Amino acid sequence: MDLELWVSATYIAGLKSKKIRLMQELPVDTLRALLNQIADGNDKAVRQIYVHYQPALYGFIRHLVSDESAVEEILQDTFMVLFRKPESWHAQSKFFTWLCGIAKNKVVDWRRSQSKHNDVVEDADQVLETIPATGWDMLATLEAKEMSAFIAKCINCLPQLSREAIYRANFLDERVEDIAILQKCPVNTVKTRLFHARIKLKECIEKILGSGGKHACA
Amino acid sequence: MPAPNSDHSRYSALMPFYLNGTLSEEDQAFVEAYFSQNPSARDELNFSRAIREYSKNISGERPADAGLETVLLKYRALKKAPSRLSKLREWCSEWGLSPAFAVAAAIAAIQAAFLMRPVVVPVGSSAEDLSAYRGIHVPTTALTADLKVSPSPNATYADLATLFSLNHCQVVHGPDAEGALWLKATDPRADLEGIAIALKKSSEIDSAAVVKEEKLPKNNE
Repeated sequence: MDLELWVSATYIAGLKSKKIRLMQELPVDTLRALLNQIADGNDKAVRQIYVHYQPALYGFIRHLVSDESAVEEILQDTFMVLFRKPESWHAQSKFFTWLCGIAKNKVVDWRRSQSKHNDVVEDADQVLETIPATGWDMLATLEAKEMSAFIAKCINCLPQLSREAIYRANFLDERVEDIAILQKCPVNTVKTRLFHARIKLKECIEKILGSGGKHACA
Repeated sequence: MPAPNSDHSRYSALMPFYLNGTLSEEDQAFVEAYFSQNPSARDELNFSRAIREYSKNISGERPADAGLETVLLKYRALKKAPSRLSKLREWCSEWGLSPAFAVAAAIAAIQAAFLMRPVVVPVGSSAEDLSAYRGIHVPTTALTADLKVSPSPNATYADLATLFSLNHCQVVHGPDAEGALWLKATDPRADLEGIAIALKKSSEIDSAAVVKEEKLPKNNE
């Protein structure tokens, strides 16, 4: 077997077996019991819900907002919406999806307050087959740490839906079908969205490299 | 720039899901086959992997309880000791009631529950207690008679009972040594003279008269 292929296969097998960082939803009955306790003023239940969902929710908000202090504020505001009215979750959607919905609204509010509400317009309508294959060799010269730093700078160039798709595919390891349901779009749109995100990130990184480190969205 | 290639597009579209291990076996086999036949695809795969690593490491070494204390402080301030009165107000407002109405309704409910409770008579109660609970009417000589009648010697008890019942009166005393009976009209507004006349007409009664201010004889007389 080709070495690179073997590495990929090992990587995926490891991912499947370890389930590291994969966020597991709490059972609905447990959630209901905890939310009832929160309504009764139980600190322990607050702690349990927070510790369970905070890392994934933080990751979600962090994908949408780059400002670290704003992420912290939005995270706390999101949890406080839950703790103020724990009865507002009716189990019609998954609890974490519901939390993400609150967080997204908070992000929108924050953007408005920052006068940065003009989200990047996405061009996911463009069909994948019409896009020519691109050269990626330039990026191969970057170290992993450098690459991460560039991605962190350039992810702001992406529309919110693309960032959400990146989060769900990479952080939560969700299937494309599940992301499509959440984003209320066809499966191909999600695939196209992620492809465009890669292209935009690549272009942004190339611009930074070409301009001597100056940040520029494509 | 390479020309559009549908296999490459499919490969690009599937790549994030190949890396997160959620592809079907068929798609996974396709990606692996494409990957092994096109070494140039490795750079794109590596870039996708770099995005994935960025995503996975976005929260760094942040502990799961980071920021918890701040949230707990806000939560405690939110839920700070609600008084019983405020709880009652909250409960009432949920049901669309004013507190005064709710209290009145609660009192009415308690009273109704008390009045409708099952009567439990303790074992060993006397007969008098039971009669009081059961509401048995016990005729006594304390009732003042309205009429005195002398039944005919041939009259039977059943005939007399029927006759008195038809004329809306009941026996309150007697028979005495001569067989006389004292009757009380069940309706206080009844025409006593009329009843006396009606009784006299019956073959079971020899004589009937309205009693006026006459003391009843004692039982042992």
